[in-house]
Amino acid sequence: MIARTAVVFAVAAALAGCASSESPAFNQAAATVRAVETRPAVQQHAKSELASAQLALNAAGVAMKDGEDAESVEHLSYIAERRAQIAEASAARRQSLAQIDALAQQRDQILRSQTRQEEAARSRALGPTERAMALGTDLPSQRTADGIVLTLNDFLFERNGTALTDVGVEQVTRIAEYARANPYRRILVEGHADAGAESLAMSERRTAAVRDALVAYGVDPQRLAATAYGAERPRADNDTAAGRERNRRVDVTVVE
Amino acid sequence: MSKLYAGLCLAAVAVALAGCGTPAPREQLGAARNAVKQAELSEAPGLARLELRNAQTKLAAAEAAFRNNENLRARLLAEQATVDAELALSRAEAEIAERNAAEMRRSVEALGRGAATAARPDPMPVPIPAPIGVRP
Repeated sequence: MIARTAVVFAVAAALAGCASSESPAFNQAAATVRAVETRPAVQQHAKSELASAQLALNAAGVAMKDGEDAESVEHLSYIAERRAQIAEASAARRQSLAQIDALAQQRDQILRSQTRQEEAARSRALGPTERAMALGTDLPSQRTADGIVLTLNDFLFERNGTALTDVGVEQVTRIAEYARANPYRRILVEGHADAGAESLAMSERRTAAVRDALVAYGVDPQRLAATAYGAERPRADNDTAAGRERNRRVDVTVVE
Repeated sequence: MSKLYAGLCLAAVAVALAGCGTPAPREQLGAARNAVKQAELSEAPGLARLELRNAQTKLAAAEAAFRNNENLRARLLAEQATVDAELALSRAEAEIAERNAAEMRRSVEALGRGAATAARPDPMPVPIPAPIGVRP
């Protein structure tokens, strides 16, 4: 009888382990989870990772209360602590990514205002004929041996796309008006792209978009010549974002 | 009868102590191997070396325990290796994102400075100070 009781007791002890209610590993995990869950960045950016940490800590707490052995309480606490650290790292990462997005917008804004300043400076430098021509549009223009070149810059097209924006379409209609008023002048449409992937296809589609818009607004297609050059004729350095933006353009030349 | 019962109980003790009753932790080992591999293929070897080494050591110990039929120990070690590897990956990715953000900050600042100087074309000429201690 005594032997039997002793055996039963041994089984219970083996299954329960030393059922201490105080586990340093659990206390440490609890402190880490508490510290991490108060951080606003974690609450905002790593909700699901934080929930995993809290769940794991809860499991460790339950195991401790149920008197499970020290090894499994320690194990569950270890998992909880690591999950909390993962939540912290994920929050930091997503915070940086959000910052990168915001900075990219800021950069685009600066680039756009720089392009506008350059264009304003160039249109001030035009001669009387060119200025009259440029007044019809808000486009930067230049006199070359061929005639007057009007440049449709990158921002007049959809971002990373090939269709003209509403503002771009408006500028093209003004070119079309000028072309209809001067029916004996030939019009050259020449598309350019940066040195990125698919630059030729990109310039072809943008060239086609401008040519189609001119035709849609009443310019005789027989007076139009459209050519896409891809990245063959850069006007700026392809190593910087600003340079690549300057290279993505469609030039419309009114031949004189 | 009582002898048989005691024998059964002893067997139960042995099973409980050895952990042979737990099924083979194939799933947990697979998850740990995946997590460690993923961390090894990331920037973690350079950016979260300690965390990754922790995960690799635990995974090796888990595999060894599994070969010795210590299934419970193998499962616990595999689960710990998994979170260690996930932490290594998360910390490495956080570090890369932070570096990219810093790089972006620098480039936007430089761009902003360029825009500011472009808007103000002619800075005031700085007068050259007369050398000190030289009599005319």
